[in-house]
Amino acid sequence: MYPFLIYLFFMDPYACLILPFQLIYLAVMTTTLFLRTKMHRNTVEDGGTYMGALFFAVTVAMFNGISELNMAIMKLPVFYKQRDLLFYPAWAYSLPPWILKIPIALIEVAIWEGISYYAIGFDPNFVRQEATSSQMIN
Amino acid sequence: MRSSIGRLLKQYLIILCINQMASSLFRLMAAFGRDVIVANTVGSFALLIVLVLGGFVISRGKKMVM
Repeated sequence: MYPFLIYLFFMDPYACLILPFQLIYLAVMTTTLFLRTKMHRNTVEDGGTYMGALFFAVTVAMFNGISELNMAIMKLPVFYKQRDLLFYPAWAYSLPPWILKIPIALIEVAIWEGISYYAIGFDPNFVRQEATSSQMIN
Repeated sequence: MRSSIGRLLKQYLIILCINQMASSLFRLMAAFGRDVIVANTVGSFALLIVLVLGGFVISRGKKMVM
């Protein structure tokens, strides 16, 4: 399912809009799975739950990169032609896409963090004082 | 104690770096594979290796409590 979606995403630039909505959907699902109202933070086993949430964040961040694979493969014939005919150097096809993808990555990670960080409860309060934080450690 | 917004920004930075690492890894695998089927296989295997050896799935020491 996913490579086909990425194929669509490459062929149709308007389908670029699908990917952030997919990320929003995943973040909402993760949030409902690790809701902070059901979570305790007393023992080491409770920390394992938070580690599960972190692991899922890492997994989602890595699976977002699969789109790069199909897009890079589809750009390869143009790259080989330009390189063999000495038109453009090789870095012209590696550096600008990377730099242009950085704002998209910023937005995607901001979506993920904004939805799931405080809802999962990595941090219970937005602003925390010194006393309450030391009480929570002890 | 660090401020809480700083921890949010730290996690943001870390997940951004993971995102960049993943996209670079898959671009490298696309350059290695040069074919859709081969590159998908190699990319999935690289993802498997990274996730298994990352330390979450298989813990390293005996004291790990999960």
